[in-house]
Amino acid sequence: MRLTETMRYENVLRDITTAQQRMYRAQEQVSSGKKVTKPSDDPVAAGDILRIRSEQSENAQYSRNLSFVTGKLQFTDNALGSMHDLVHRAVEVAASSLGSMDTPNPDPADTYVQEINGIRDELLGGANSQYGGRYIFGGSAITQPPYVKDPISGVVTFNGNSDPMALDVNRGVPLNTQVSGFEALRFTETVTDQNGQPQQVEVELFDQMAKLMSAIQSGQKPQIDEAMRKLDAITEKIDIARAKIGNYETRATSVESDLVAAKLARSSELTEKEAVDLAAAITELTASQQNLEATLAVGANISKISILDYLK
Amino acid sequence: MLFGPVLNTAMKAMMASQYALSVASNNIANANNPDFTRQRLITRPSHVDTAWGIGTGVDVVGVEAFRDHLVETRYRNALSARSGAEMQAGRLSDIEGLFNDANGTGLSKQITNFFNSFHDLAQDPASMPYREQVRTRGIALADAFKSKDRELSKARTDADRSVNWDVQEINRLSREIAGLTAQIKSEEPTNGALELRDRRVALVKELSEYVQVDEVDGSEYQLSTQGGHLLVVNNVSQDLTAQGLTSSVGAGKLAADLETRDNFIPKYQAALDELAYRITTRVNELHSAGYNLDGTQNNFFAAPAAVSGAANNFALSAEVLGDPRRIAAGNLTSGTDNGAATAIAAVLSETDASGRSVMDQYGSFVSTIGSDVSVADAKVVEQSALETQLENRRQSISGVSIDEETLQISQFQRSYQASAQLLQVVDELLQVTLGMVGR
Repeated sequence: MRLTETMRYENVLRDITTAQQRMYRAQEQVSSGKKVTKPSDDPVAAGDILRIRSEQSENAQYSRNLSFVTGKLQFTDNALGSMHDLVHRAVEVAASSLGSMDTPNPDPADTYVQEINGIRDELLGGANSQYGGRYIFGGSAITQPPYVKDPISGVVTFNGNSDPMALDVNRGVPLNTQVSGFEALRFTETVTDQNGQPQQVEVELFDQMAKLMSAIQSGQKPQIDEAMRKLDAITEKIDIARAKIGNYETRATSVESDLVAAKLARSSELTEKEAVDLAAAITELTASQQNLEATLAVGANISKISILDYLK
Repeated sequence: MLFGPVLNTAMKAMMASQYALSVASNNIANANNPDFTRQRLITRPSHVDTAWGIGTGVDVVGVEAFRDHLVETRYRNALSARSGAEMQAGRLSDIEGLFNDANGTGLSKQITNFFNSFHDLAQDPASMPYREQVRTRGIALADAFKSKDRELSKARTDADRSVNWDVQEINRLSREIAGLTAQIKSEEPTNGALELRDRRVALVKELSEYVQVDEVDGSEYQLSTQGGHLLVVNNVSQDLTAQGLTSSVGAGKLAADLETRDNFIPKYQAALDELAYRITTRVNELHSAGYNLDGTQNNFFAAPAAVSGAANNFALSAEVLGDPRRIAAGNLTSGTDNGAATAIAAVLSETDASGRSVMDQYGSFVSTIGSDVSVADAKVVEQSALETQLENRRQSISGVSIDEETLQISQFQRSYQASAQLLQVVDELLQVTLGMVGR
């Protein structure tokens, strides 16, 4: 096949360009540390990388949700604990009042009533606890105090609901974050009335506190006993609520380890798909540099040869 | 009388050598022009009408150019294919740059940030700051979609402008080719018109970059696109109109621009619209079932009229834009539970009927663009290799080799020297002869 100068030069140029492109690609990989810098580098991997990054972002958000939940649950647990102790104290005060009534010199009912009133106000504060500025015992009624005391009659009413305010802490894993006062501070019991018919009667904390205070005030022992019994039952309810919160906390811990494991898995998946093997990339860079040098040297040498050098 | 023919023969030989040297010199002068076809002097032994059939020298008959039409045609077609593939790869690569999440230019960050903001709102559904965050991120998402759609529309307009430019160029070249054909026809009988043919070949080659052409060069000259549009008939050119052209006009830059404008970009815009429609419709569905802080219900996004155009019209609803209180977090009329916020946040990982989540859909969209570019790049490599091979073949046939020309020059130099030497000898002999006479 005939060879012309044009062919020779074009071929040399083409070879140099190819070698340069190879070196440029190797440089890009080494300096960015990535195999995939644009979708066309590896279209399937590019789609996967997007998915992984999105999952990482989701995972980070779930971690944030989880810390929020953990903090709130812990706070709720403490608040319930305080309330348990307060109710217990109220019962003890009532027992003391009973004891004092049996003595020759009974203390005035007022002292006991005052103390229990103080405890009741503390309990009101506890039931209206706020976490991050939001009320936690009123279900979804988080902007208004769930327990409202009428200033005149002193009657405390509950204005909330029992929404557990669940929050997703992982895909499809909602975790309840609240136990409402409806559940923790009251219960219903069946009582037979005068006609022998079963009746549902509501037993509620503040209602019982009020009954206790009036019973002590009027010195009615059986009513005091009754109120004490019911308040004891309420402390059990509070304990059950605390156990529930404990359960949520346990679940939160297990979700946390899931999230951590997922984070590690995503991270290594991403590295595998996206990151370049630095050793291999640097080897390729060196090889391509040598290739370019060789091409340039050969190209320069070939173009020197011509018959014109030899003709006299 | 005997020496006459010898002198004549020698003189004709020397002239032929001079002509040959001219041709060689012309070849060398044009050696670097890739469109130049090397030429050779055609000579023929002179007509013999002497005694015993002794030859009378050499006649210069003409100059021929070395070209192989088949190789040239195949080379031109490969050139068209490569030009088209390069243009296509370039345009698609530009579009790929719009959706390169690896470099932070894609939509994935805005999408995940938007849905994450609803998780934050679910933590505290009465929060105004979290609502502000949701609104800000919603605006960012809407703006991102709008801007990508506008970029695609702009790319489409650019492709359209390119198509018109390509057609203009094709028509300009057609006209020049027609003019040259007229010139060739008129000058060929007298001076061979070889360089005019070379110029025409160069023009047809330039035209081939825009569209693949079929050339018929017999008694009539005809140039038409591969798709059948007539461009040149003898000395008359026919303008191509951009109206109604599809990529079937023939491989080349024009077809690439047409494909970009009519096939690729609409495909990408449709996919973007589908994603936008899915997000806005689903979020609206969940949001309008919930209650905002005022206890009323409204959409979160402006409801798109149809799938087509959903990306360009991606916007927050007037209610939410005007007042973040109108963002619903809860499903109860009191508006402070977190049911709606939780449900909306979960949309990111929700799968549709075909099992794809929002992110899967976006990922597949980006993958499609990536593989379109990758296929175009591969085509460029493939077509370039073919083009190179054919160019080498063509050069091998038609190109000038300086070494070869130099050797030829030596050859003609020797034959000229030989003829000149012969003249000298004949001159001496004549002198001897004259010396014999006239005593």
